[in-house]
Amino acid sequence: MNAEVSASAAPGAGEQAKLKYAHEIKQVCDCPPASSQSVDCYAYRFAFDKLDKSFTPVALFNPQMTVSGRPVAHCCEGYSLSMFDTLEQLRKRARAGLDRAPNFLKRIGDHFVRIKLTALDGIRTPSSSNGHFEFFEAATFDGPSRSLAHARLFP
Amino acid sequence: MKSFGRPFEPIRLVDTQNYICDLVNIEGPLVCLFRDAKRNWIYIWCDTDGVKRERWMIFPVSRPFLIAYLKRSSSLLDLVAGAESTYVLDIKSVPGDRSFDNSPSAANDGGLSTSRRLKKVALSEIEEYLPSYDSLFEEEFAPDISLARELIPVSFDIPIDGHWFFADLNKFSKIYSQLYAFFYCTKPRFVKNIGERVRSNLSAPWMGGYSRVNLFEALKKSVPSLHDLEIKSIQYASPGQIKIEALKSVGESVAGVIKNYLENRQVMVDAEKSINTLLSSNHLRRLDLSAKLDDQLFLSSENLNFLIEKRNLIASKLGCIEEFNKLAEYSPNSVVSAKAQLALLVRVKRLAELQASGLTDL
Repeated sequence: MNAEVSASAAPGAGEQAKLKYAHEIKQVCDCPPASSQSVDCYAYRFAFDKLDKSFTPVALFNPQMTVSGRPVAHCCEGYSLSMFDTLEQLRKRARAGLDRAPNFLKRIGDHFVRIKLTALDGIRTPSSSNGHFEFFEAATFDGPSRSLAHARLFP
Repeated sequence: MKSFGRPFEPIRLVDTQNYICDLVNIEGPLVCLFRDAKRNWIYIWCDTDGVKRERWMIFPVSRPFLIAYLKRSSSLLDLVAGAESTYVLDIKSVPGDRSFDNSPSAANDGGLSTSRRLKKVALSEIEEYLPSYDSLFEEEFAPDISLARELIPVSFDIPIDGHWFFADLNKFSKIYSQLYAFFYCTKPRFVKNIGERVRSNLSAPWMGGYSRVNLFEALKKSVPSLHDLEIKSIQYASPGQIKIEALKSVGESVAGVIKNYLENRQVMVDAEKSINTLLSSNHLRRLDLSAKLDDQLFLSSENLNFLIEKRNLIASKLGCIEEFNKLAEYSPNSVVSAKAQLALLVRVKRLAELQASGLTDL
């Protein structure tokens, strides 16, 4: 069952959208990508049953994971949140993972979270053909309080 | 998580393996390609306790099977089912260490606060972890792989002649494989992440001969076993041939550079000598220059230009401008790049000597 959560008020207009993890991001070349922009949109993300566990970038959640053999802490995507444009795209990604590793959802969470992103919440990369994008949080962004829905991926 | 009892396998089996690339990356590495001295190994992520233990299934896969997977005529399930042996690798963090490693490649780096356990298992014991029939290769989930590049190794001959001794065979195979690895790693390949590894090796302290040996050994380990040099047959006669299965274009690069060296031998010898003299007279041989840029080197602009000029001369005469440019791009500065080029030149010279003595005809 979807648990609707009311969104908190967006930061005041004119507030500087300084990125969370700005210090770490500064150490990584070309991060965030130049194509990143702040936009108003809805987004979907894999989540655990506990919402507060679901908004930690992978470089902090699991710093020794690798991306293409490089420590994730040295990669731009280590400090962003992986998101999708639609729930169906997120489910499609989940099914692809389950086809290869039946316990896939134990790793990334068997829930989804629906979020409303506003221009002051941060910046995001353009969506790829499968609807995926990376979201770089503003310092003021609080994921759990911005969540509109949090439920099982496959009820 | 399901538990597996003793006996466990020696962990050195995985310690001899090197990470090549992710074959499936969905919110993190899910299926990875490794290699040991000879074989391809597939790692499939299986399970986690959500706290400190991650489990991977690992198994060797033959060259034809891996190609079939990449061409989508076999699924991951087919690869597991066809594997001669299957193992479960448990990676567990040391209590108190909050940074838990769930990446098989990092586990292979050593020095991490993790403990690992390897258990040989029958397929029936890991049914719950098996991929589905639909687990075909998808380029979309493999950011490290470009199927647009040369994929399938083919057989080609290396003509041999004259009187070979064991020492010749040893020398030939060692140098040829190092040059093959160099030309493999300095052009875009089906594995796209090689450049970063070359860059990382060139950023090591280039003092004395240590890093040169390391570079070529590291390059060899970066070649996926799928594209490594596999001897299909050796016909020892006058003339004879060594039939190799590998990427033919890379073999042609090696052959081309040897021919070009022999045609420009004196120019090469002179260029090598003048670079060596410059490095020695400026005491640059034993300095750690890995963190320095060109303008931070203890080298006059005149000498720096001389170094670059000689590098360009060697590259142009050998016919490998693109490869030398790549080497320069990956190197922290021109001196490191020159040292790497000299190391390559030494190997080219040794192989050219075998050719000049009539033992090979590349």
